[in-house]
Amino acid sequence: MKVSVKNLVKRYGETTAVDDISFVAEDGEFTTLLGPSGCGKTTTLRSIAGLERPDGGQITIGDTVLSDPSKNIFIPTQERNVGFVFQNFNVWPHLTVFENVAYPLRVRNYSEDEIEEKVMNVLKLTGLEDFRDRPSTQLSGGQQARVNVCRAIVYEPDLLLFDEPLTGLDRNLRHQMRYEIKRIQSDVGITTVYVTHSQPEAMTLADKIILMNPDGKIAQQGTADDLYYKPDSKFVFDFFGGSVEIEGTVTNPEGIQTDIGLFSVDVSPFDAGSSAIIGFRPESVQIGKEGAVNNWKGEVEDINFLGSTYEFFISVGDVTIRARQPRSGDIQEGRTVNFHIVPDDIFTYRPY
Amino acid sequence: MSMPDINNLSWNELKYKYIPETRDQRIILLSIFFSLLIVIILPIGSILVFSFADSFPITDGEFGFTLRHYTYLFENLSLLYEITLNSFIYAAGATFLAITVGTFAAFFTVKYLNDSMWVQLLMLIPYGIPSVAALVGWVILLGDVGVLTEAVIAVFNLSSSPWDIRSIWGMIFVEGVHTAPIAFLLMFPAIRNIPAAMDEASFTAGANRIRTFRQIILPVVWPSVLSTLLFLFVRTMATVTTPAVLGVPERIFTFGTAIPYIFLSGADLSYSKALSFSVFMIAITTVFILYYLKAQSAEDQFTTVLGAGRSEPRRYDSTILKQGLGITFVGAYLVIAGLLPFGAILWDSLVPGIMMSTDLSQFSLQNYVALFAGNAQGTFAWRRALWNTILVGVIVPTTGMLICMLIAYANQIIDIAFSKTFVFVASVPLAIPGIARSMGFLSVFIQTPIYGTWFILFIAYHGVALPIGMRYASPALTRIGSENVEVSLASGAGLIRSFRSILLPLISKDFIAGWMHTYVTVIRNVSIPILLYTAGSEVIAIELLTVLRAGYANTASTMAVIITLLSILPHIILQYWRVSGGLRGR
Ligand SMILES: Nc1ncnc2c1ncn2[C@@H]1O[C@H](COP(=O)(O)OP(=O)(O)OP(=O)(O)O)[C@@H](O)[C@H]1O
Ligand SMILES: [Mg+2]
Repeated sequence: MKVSVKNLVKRYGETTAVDDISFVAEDGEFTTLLGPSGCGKTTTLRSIAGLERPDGGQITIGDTVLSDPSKNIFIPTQERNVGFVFQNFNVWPHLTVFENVAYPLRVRNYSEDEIEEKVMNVLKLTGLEDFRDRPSTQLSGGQQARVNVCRAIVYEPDLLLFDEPLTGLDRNLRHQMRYEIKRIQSDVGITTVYVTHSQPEAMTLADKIILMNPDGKIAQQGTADDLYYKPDSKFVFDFFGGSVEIEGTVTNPEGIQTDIGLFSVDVSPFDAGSSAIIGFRPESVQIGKEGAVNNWKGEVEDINFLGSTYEFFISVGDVTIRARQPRSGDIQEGRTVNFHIVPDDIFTYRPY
Repeated sequence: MSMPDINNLSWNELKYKYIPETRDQRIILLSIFFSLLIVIILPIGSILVFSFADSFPITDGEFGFTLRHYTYLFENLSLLYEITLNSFIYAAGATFLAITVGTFAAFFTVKYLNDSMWVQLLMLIPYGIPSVAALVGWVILLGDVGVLTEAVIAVFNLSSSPWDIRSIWGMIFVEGVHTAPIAFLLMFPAIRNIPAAMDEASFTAGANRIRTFRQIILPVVWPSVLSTLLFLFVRTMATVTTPAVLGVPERIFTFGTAIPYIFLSGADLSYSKALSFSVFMIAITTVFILYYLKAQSAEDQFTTVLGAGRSEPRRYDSTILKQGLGITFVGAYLVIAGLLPFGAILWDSLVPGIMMSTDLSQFSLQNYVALFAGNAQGTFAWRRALWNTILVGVIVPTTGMLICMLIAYANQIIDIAFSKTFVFVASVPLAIPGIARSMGFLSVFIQTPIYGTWFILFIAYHGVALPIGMRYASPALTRIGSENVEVSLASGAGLIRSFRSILLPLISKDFIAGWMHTYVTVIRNVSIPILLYTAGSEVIAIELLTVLRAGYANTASTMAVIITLLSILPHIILQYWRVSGGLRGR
């Protein structure tokens, strides 16, 4: 079902944890709430679940208003029909795998036959069917994560909420579980809101990303492509991929003049003479190539091998530029190299 | 968007905060509220109010206010002074003895015996003998014609007993020995948490161990000593059992015994005086409790500075000799506090007649048979008392723990309105002597039909149960955290279902531990039932106190063995869990 959050505000005493947030998660859509630590992701998610009571704004699911302080509406969590998967594995140790998953159905007074059928369906979906009678104290981290997911989807909630469910897992398992969550979600087709502070995780999973800034506001929302290629603020640009930034002055209509020379970019949003920041991603730096504009020469100071790519630090005057590419080729420390940046790969911002 | 109406908003906020919305919230709020009202607020309020009533019990439903009962107390200043002085000497002496034994034992255990679990357990076990039972043993051993008294007279060829157990010194000795495990329990972590660097710095500076103990260890644990001291002092000041057996016959009255044996006894029995005296007593304990709280916060600050628990304590290289010394110390304590009194009651209970015999062929279960057959000397109500004790012993810990878990749940997990106040109120009984609370229940219920029934005991014992229960409930819920419950709520379960199906199973061990602690405390408690029991609602502890005071040694020792057996096992299991770390972080 479609979920919409309008002008959500949540304060804790003096701190405003969530400040006027609005977004819509369409029916069946996978939405991630992304942002740095403390930006209010969890608070937003918990407000949707009814675990926190918002101070302002409206949350609706389908046509039902879940909460609206101005109208004094607040539906308690247990009546919202949402599934919630927490960061810590909250598999209940006093119940078996089967009983953990069956709990929400028992609460809803399903018959034994229905319970058996529904629980086994979700256990099969996650490959846990052989573990049904395992005491939940004897499960691996990944299995616990799966039990959590099963327990949250078994009653076919209107909305599935995840709060950094993979944080406790090791790297490989985390990657594997991402795909699994994505698969399960698209199989069952439940509208999902997923909180994470990991940009790659958000990009892998999401149909739509809501990026929050540290002030508890939305910085930008859209698809992964939108946020990556069309960041509309320095914060978004910074958050998506390590960046190189240089401050300069706008010289209409050529571009932006910096300490290391003129960058040819579109400066139509700026007044002549105003200061501006240009930024580009390390992978936009094309070493050994030449274009019509934006060509530089610098000395390679350092090379790091990162596994799948190489990272180069190139000094041009007082500025160090970070570049990245899959092969090191014949580039060596101490050499002088030419590099080029396509104007479309350069982002420009006003300094704050 | 229109401007939010500030007044309206804050009214809404107030409303969310204080008016429960769901049925479950209302049920939880009301059950906690009424439990605390009946168990704590009414009795305490009632003492205050009725102490100003011109007559009590109230006739015709009308009464005027008067200060007469207070002026009476202060007109009889010498009595008041005597009672207060006795109570202070008694409490100070017993506390001093207990804390000395407890601190040394804790020091040996940490420094030379590597925290030995078994040694800790041995130190704690004697507390499993209810003091009313231990007293029977002490009278058998050290009374005027006691076994040890006669032995000493014979060996040293004395003309009379070298001691008199029915004296303030006797009271101090018995109570002090009996309280030492609590001092040990409180001092052990304090000494355990002194970081090794403290001792090491002192050794490096050239000080030896004795000097280090005096100049470093003692000052560092001093805040803990002080708070333990105050805690034990307040706790001992108004105890009933020991002064009732060893003081009252010699007309040595204390806070614990003044109400039952002066104000509510004899021809000029006066509830009003008992009430005003209760208020006086509460005022005094409150002063000490305030000091105690202050000492405790100083202790917490100290603990923070020391970084307690973050590092291992310094162990002293222990030679066999030193270990032997430590073990001898603890062993001697075990013999004195445990084996001697228990041995005495067991022996006496197995030998019918007044003569103590070592002739094994004379041993029999005759005393037990007589007790259960209903023809033991000095008691008519034994079976009823046993039944009542088991009844309250099983039910009160259960309901008490449930209420405490519910209060902690309301406070720590769902943050229900007034829950912080509830937590506070549940711990108020700690500051009010049992005998005063008992007086409170008396004053609330004396004119209702439940007075004189088993039910009034059931309610009153909850005043004992709640503060104990909270000590298990709060940490348990802190450990569990709120997410388990939140998952359950998201699954569609209400607050009560989540409490029952998820929370209680997760904290079952804490529940059982708190249950056992409450059980052990309730069945031995004297101060609550002493003013509330009547024919029909006797309990073992009171029955035992009565036969002991009346001098029926055989009956008393038989009952003493039984009450000890009833409480020793849960006590040992509980302490075993505690020392083996099974309750750590719990
Ligand atoms: N119960 C609370 N009481 C007071 N402040 C809170 C509470 N919960 C959250 N906050 C504050 O609200 C802000 C947002 O917290 P929130 O937990 O939503 O952040 P988050 O984005 O989930 O961060 P993380 O990635 O670290 O989980 C933080 O400043 C936090 O300190
Ligand atoms: Mg969070």
